[in-house]
Amino acid sequence: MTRTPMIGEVLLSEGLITQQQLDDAIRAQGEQGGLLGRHLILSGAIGRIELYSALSVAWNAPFLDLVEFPADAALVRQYDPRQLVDQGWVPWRLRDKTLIIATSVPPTDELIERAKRGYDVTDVEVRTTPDWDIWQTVAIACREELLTLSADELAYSRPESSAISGLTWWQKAIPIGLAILLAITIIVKPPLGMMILLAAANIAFFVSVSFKSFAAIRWPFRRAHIERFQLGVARERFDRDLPVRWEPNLGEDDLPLYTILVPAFNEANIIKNVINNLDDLDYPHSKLEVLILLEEEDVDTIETTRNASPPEYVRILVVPRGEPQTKPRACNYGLTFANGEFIVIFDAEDHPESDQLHQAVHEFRQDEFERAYLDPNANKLVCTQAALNYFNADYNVITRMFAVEYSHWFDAMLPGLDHSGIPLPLGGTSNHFRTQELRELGGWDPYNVTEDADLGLRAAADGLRVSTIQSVTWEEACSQTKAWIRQRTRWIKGYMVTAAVNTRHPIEFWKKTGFRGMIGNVGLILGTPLAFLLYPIALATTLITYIGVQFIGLDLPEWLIIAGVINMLYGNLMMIVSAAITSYFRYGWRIAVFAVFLPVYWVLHSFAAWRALFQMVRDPHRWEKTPHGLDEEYETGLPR
Amino acid sequence: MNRWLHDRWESLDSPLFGRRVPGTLVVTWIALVVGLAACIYTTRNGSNLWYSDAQSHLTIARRIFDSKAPGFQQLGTVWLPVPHLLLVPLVIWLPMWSTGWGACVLGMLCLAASVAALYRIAARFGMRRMARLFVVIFFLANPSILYTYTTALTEPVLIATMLGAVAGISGWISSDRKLSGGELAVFAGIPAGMSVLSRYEGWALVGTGSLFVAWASWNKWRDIRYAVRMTLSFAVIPAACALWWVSYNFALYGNPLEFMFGEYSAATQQRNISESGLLTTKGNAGLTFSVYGWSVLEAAGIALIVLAFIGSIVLILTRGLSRQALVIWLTATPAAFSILSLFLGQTAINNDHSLPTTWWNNRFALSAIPVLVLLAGILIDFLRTSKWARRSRASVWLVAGTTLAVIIAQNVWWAQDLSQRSAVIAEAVLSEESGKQAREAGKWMGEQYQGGNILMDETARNNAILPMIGVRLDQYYNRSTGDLFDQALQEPTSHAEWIFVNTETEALDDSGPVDQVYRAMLEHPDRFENYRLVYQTPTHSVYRLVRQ
Repeated sequence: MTRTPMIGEVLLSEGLITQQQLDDAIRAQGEQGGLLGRHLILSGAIGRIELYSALSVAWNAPFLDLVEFPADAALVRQYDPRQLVDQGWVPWRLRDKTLIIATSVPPTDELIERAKRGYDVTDVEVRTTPDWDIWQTVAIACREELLTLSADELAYSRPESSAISGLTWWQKAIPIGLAILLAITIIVKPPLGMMILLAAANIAFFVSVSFKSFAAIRWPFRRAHIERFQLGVARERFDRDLPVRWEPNLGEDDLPLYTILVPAFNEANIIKNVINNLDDLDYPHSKLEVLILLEEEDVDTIETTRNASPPEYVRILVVPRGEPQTKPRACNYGLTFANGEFIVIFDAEDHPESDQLHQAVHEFRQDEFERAYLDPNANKLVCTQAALNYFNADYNVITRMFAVEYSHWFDAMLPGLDHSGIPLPLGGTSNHFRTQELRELGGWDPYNVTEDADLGLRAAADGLRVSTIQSVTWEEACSQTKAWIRQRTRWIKGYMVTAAVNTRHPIEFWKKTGFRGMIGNVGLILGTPLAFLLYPIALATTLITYIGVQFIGLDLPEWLIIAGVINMLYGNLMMIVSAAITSYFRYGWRIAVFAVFLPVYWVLHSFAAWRALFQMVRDPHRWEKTPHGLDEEYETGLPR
Repeated sequence: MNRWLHDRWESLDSPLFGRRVPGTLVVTWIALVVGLAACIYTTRNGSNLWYSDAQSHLTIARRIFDSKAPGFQQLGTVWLPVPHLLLVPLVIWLPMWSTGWGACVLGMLCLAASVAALYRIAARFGMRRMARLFVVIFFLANPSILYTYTTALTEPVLIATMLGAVAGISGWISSDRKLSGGELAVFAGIPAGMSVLSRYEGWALVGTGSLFVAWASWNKWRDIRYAVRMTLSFAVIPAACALWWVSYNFALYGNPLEFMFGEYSAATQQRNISESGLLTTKGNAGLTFSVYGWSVLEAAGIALIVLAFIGSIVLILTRGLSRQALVIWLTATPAAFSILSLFLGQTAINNDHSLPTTWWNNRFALSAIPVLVLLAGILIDFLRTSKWARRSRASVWLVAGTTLAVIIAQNVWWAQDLSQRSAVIAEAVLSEESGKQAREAGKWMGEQYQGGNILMDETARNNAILPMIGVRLDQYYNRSTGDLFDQALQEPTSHAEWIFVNTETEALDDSGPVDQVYRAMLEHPDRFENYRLVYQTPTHSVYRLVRQ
């Protein structure tokens, strides 16, 4: 507190800012909290170098330009890079028993003691340097270590949770054995073989549809329950002369620092959009830390982002070249540099609703409150998932189908699963985490191509909870069939990998997550790819047998044909109706009516599922990037 | 309220934005209201069931689930299935079937869809509010259209689906960006596919539509791959529908072309007519144009035809062979198909100017009305936007007033003797009159019926009156029950309580539909000796089993 007026005084005395600018920054600090210097930079009153130069006077620690005089890399590597970033300092030189450090935070006694202990020195000299230079120094000096951490930390720390080792021997042997057995049966006894295949296909389809329908149908009941509960709480609070609605005591200055990760690869065409979209967030910029994660080889996007002159709270992090070159690896890299109490991922094309961070903070604070005062044994909330929907829903048929499907997923199914004890598979973006717990979970698995779904299940296995919030992130639906198939291949393959990872030790997984966890894993994670793999078989066989078995000369039992037809009708109807209702409320009838095409849309899924199975064998870690910005003309006002 | 009306009125002249054509909902609601009024009128006087084919269509739809031998095979092959399938949910409730209200509801929906499609085609063409509205008015003010849309005939579904396909194509071609194949497949291909499974005119539309899509996409974007992709996208669903129809025929009858050459096919009927020397349009272009022309004239009215003729000249002079102009001409496909069919002897139409003169199949002319109303709309738009009209507001009112006066005059003329001046309604009246005796007998049996099975050949002359009788179809042994019908003919007393027969012996000379039940009664009187005649008209008799 004593230093705040000092930095202001220093800047004023050196003529770097005006009194008006200082007053404005102090007012902003009073309203939003945070450091005065940050407000001065955000308001454009001063540059970063000028600020830290002034701070060097205030701190009595000479300014050091780490770009011109880089730190001793070997020295930096001796310390945990994550701690250096967290603590805001780096070692610069070691002379005899004197360590010279560069800091971007006040050189407190605690910090100096920490440096002494870390390097076993008796004296520490302090220099002042901008925070960005600290990051840059760590990134350069610890490149290899950071690469290893981003790619393989989970594999080292929790190998049983990592997809790096692929399938276990029995996970390969059982499906292959069953497939061979079925093939032999079909050759030797075609009716029996076909009967088994058709029955299996129908069961898989039935299980998958029933699970999704159950979850979707549960949502209105759950919502009614929540409303009743809230009403009861409100009455009780009213009786006790309390405000009827509990609100976390969150003024702007109480809001925590929030880190936003924006992984982007070959997306120079839309990177400016996300910067603008995030600027629309209703959250104090002084509490925001946006990290744009760009791959080293992606020169175009790096160049475009730099040229876009992003605001002060946006930082560009160049992820070093390495394998696997996947989004989770980039996110893990970003996680290393994240300072926020909470962290969220947004894709480069995302447009989150402005109140989303507020909603997420509210959700986390409510969880803390409830665990503190109502149910100390409740599972800790580690992540809350915002709804994902599409801004280009009516661009073409495939985007409409995508919108119908996503609306069903995020507006009904996931909220329906909330508080059911069934683990929620997370969506690819807009999942808000507690940063510390995310690190403890091991971050994202770079070898799993649906790292999001995997993380949801891993959190459940660790006794943590995932919830949903109603705030929406508007995304761009993939509008081209080829790109859609590539994206869906990746997702379905990821589900296969996730299911495999979680069933390596099925009994252990059962013990950790309980019966419901197992249901979630089988009904959703394993059931989804299985149903898509078998759907065309069930559909075609049902259709053919219905039109006339004389086409194939197959004599299937009447009960199986009837069961198949009923199953197809039931399954398709359930999904069509529930998806139509949810998408009607989200997008209106023009989109909702496309739910009738779901049975055809699933054929496309099946194609992707078989492609995924093929890749699962050949290249399980291959990440097929989904191109964005395909609909640029749509966004520029030509929505035909 | 005033504000609401004002907004609706303004919407009719709003610029188009993307897929949105403002005003579509307004005209849709107007069409529904007009359609409802027409339905109330025809169901009150029973004229919605005058066409015996209308009763047959209702029966086919219901017997899919209500029959001694229910199932999709009841769709048969005589008619294409979509109109019946659309009727199924609407005739589940017995009164909706027996009064024909099920078909009325479908007709109202088809009327709304047809009007919405016409409005959208007109708007996409560039017509402004007055012309768009007159396109709608021309269509809705036609009594032949309104009447047909209250019946279970296949024209409402055919016209609605064909116009839906053309509206989809017009939306696609007027888009600023290259729409995807999926868009075209959904918005044009699906309605086209439905028209393919409604009537064979739909097959012709797929042909002309595909040609148009191929040419237009090349003409607009000069991209051969895109042109091929779009053409395939448009044609793939109709092609799949046609393939399904062929497969269905093969699966059920062992002959993929059963619908073309089967016992009840149009070709067999035409052969009989041709052999009788009554197919006078075959190979005679003059008579073909004359007969078809008079049908159109007597269905559409002289006023509309004159306006459309002038409109066609305006279209040719102002738009030539532009993409927008060709979309309008695309709606003439069913008319061209009908003319060709007449000339080739694939179909027959009779009216008061044909040889011989009677009323037969004049409703085929109804599918020419959409192109006529669009052409008339083009004329109105031309006049409305001409320099002359733009000079003074009075001239705008003059155009609107004159057109309205012409429409009113035409309708007044029709109203003076609708049963003779509208070919479609005249044919309905003729059908009603020729089946009067059958209807009387049917009505009597419906009133007297207290349970028990009925033996009846519903395909015999004037016997297509099952909805009018109003008895559930699972009480019948008739031809649609296949082997059960044969068994009932062999042992009627153990099967049927009632027998309903056409007793016209001249029908037994193989020149027309033969009442199989009456034939069996004549050939095997011993099997029917326990039946007592309980009601008789000059052409029909009702028998009831006397328990010993």
